[in-house]
Amino acid sequence: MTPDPRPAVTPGALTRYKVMAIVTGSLLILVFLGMLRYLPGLDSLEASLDPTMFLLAQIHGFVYMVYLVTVLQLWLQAKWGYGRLFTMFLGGIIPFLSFVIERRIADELDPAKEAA
Amino acid sequence: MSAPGSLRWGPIAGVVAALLVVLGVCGSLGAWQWSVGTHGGEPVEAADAVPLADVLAPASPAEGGVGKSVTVSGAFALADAALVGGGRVIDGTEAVLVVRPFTVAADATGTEETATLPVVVGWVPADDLSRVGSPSGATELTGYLRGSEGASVSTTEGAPAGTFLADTLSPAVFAQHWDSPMYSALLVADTPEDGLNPIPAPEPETELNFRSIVYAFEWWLFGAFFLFVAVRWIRDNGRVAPETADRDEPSPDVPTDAATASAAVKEGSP
Repeated sequence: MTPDPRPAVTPGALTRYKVMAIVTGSLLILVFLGMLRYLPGLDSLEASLDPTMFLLAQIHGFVYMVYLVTVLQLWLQAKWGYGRLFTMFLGGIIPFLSFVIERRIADELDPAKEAA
Repeated sequence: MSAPGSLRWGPIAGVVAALLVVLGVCGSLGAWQWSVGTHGGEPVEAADAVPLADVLAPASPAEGGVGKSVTVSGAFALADAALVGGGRVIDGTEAVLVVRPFTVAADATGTEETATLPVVVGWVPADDLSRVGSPSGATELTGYLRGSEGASVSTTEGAPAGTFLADTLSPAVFAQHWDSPMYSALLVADTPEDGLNPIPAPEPETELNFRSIVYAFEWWLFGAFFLFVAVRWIRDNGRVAPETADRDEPSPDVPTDAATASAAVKEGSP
């Protein structure tokens, strides 16, 4: 009996992860752009930007929680190592990281599914 | 020395220790946000009122004192009262706040000389300014300190006798009409003056509550995430593994009781 070397990743889990990775990553970039106003010289933007930024940061907090759930599900299905889990965890905190990981994971999983 | 299936106490202890640290941090940060959220960031309770001199000195920045509940002794000065409009709305009515100068007694300022504290004594509808009477004879006030607003212009034109008009709660503006030195923050009196409406609790606090409670839940969810991962790790790696990795484990939801797991791997390994 030869076990399938590629553990079963359901298309749904992969899709949910991809969507959340992109949404979280995009929101994170917006939040980071908003933080630029703390740079000296941009204080004048405070009044106009702060209410929007406050809302965006709140939304990002919630979306990140959902993102983590999709990450957990995909990670459990794919039986990756803990390093990969940690990188995916950081994906919602470090700008652009989630796009890189999402790309890599998609590339890694898609050909495997075709071969299987 | 370790047979397959025996517990790996070292790594388990390490993971549990790390988990406890993470749970402690997430749990206490969440609890702190929760207490901020449910009790309000600025305690506004007469129960823990402190003497004004403990939190604020005349003519100095208010920073830490704002939001504190304080008691103060002295007497209302006879100078004109400030009627502060500026288009604010209370309970759906365009409102004008009534602010009176309160001369804080020399032994209550901390500087051994009297000083003037602006006191918000209540509000009236903007179309009913005549309800503003004369100051009460109170010598002891309790209330909370609120920060000053930006400067604006003040005028006696169109104001009822014994008053002047302004758009913002600004001691700097009031100073043009009242004796110096002035306090830089205002006292919102707990008890409104006779004939005036009481000032509702400050608005920003509800927003602060909501945000803090959301943060509290997010911290606890973070903790739950790490708890899940740690339990998962111990389940997967907590026992000495047999030679081959158990990659053909059917589903992560199947309980991996050590005996059955290792037996299954022995039978099913390639």
